[in-house]
Amino acid sequence: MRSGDFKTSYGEDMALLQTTFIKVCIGIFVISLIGFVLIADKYSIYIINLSAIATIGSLGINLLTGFTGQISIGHAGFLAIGAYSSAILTKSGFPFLVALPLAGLISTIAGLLVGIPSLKLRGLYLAITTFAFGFIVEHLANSWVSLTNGAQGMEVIPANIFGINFDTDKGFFFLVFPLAAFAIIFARNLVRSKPGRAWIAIRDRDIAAETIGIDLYWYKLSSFAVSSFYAGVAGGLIAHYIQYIGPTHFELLVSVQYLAMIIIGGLGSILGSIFGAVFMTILPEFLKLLPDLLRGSYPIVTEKFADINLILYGLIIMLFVIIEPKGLNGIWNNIKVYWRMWPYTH
Amino acid sequence: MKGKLKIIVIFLCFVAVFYGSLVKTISAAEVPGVTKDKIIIGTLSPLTGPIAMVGIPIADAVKDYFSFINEQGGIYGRKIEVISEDDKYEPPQAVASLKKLIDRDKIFACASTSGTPITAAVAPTVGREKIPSMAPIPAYGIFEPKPPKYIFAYGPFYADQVIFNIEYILFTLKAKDPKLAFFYQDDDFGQDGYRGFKAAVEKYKLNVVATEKYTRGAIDISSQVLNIKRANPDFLILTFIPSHSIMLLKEAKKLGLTIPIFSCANARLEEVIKVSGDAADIYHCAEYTALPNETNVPGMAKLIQNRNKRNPAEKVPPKYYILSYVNALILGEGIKKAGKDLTREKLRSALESLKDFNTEGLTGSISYSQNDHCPMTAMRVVKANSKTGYYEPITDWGLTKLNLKQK
Repeated sequence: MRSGDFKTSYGEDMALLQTTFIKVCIGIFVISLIGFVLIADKYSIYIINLSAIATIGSLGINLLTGFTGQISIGHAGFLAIGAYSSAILTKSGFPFLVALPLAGLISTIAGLLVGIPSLKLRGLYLAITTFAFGFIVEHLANSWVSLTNGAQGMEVIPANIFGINFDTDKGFFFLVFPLAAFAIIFARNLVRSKPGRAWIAIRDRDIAAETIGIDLYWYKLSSFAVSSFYAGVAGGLIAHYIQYIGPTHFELLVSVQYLAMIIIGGLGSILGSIFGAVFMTILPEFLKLLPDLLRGSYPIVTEKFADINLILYGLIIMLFVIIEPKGLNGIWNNIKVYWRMWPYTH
Repeated sequence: MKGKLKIIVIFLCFVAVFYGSLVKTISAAEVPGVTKDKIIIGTLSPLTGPIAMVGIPIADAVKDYFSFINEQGGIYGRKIEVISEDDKYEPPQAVASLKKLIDRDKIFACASTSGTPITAAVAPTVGREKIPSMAPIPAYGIFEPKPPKYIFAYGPFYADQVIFNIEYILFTLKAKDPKLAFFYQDDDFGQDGYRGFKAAVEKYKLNVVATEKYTRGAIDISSQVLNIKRANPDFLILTFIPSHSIMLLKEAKKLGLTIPIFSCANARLEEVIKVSGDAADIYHCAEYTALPNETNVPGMAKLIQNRNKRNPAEKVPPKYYILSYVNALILGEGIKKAGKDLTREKLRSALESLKDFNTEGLTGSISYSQNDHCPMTAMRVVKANSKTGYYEPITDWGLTKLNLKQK
């Protein structure tokens, strides 16, 4: 029986996947996910793809809010900038492969602009600033008609790489899955290297961080930059997947949802971002199953209590915050600890 | 290492067997959603959240109409099953709901694609999956310049409704060089109304004394109303949502603005009269369906009878119920016309070849063509009556003289 992880070299200690068991688990997960996508119906794949896009977005906001402690209630604004940039760039002839990173970069520039006041503002004041940013972007999307087609929204051409169109759900999975995997690995390496450690230090106590030589100016801005790049790419992917974007896609509620994702998943945790994104995407669909099951035998329940989903949705989020503030990642860790010592757990 | 490989291989075998059992065998020749004795129709509308009061009647109307058809024996012996899905009025959510309807519930056609932003968001999916669909609201941005191949609707755009109101002022009231004011909601919906206003002003060389707008969700419009009052117009034309119509009527009464006010069909709700009281007596709307209190219209009488049978508690059919009921009527007629060997392509071409479809007075006659999936239907100007709580038609059915589509 395994009683702990023991390492004999620095290489082992620094490996991303530390044990063979984890490697096998992840391998099985990837293979079974791909296998499932190959045979599943489009609806299931759509949900998986949305989860993958949400994962990229929630990683971004977790790097900013969870790791650096800078609250953002305007993340939908970065998503919108990414989505519109990518849509407009591909429309004007740029290939998707160039447009998507460019969209991320344009979003990064916006992130840097929003990040500048963060050097002076903290907590609630910063939250209000980002909140206002979200509204400004939404207003621009509505009013800059020549660029965004205003409230009417614009059609987006499907993602196309070297002549291959990613316009089916299955096809899009093979585009978004590697991107999400790359985003996860990159974020995971980022937070355990110098910038990540600096961000965490800033989050825990910015004055203390400054006294040990961390350049607050540079690291707060870089956190905003990386976070908005992630959000921009996620926004671009949504645009090319749904193939239509309008200002209503990026309302305040979307920012709140992303914030809820990292709170439920676990602040300051990469795995938590993934859990939160997947959970929040699947939960509303899962809650639909309940009325569907009752539809056959008790049609009155689904007709008169359609809002039951909404109540459950709110209830689950509240329970999480009250019972498990560390989020899904906390639960996962508890389970791991329990089984590691099983059957001698206390 | 070999031991581990073995475990992985065994596990993969299990995975393969598990997934294999999930795959259902479907013969390729079958049309999804159509069997010998059943046709499955889906509806997409907000059933929860703040706009549920609009979405639930949309779904109910489709259900009620097809229940009526089923009682008559169905269409070619096939009973129609209606499955309603909630879109929460959020675009990505709506696409998920539509995919669920298509993949899980295997719908044959879709009787409602929900409001304008949702219809726009699901249009690429509808086109790719080739699902003949009905949109409850005639939205300019979706049907012009080229309509989506599989989405149908009916009724005048907001621009046409604004023009109809202005033409009523010019030709029925015969107002001499009237001073007009225009007030709209600053989004795609209001912009469409403004498009009609500008076209009419250009065509008839009208005297405009004030143009005002409010942002979506604004909670105060008093400064704009004051500006309009100062400009002293003879008539006020609106492209408003119902809640803001109420705000405007109350504000107008407070400021002593008593000129006739003309709004579009979407703001013709009985609730506007109920909440505004006698302030509503100056309120007019261009309306393209029959009114819920016109029980002498055969189509409306049947609608009310059918609805009361299923919802005995509620007497007055809401506006979106009527709009969606007509869509169900059109879809039912299309399925009938498409014949016994039903396919989606046949339904689409049956709908496209629908000419002068008679809704028994619920609306004007409806004709589709390949290039027009949202035909302008006849309208009337209706006037609010605070004593009865209903609207009364004050003109005959008619079309606009200035037709923007011919351009």
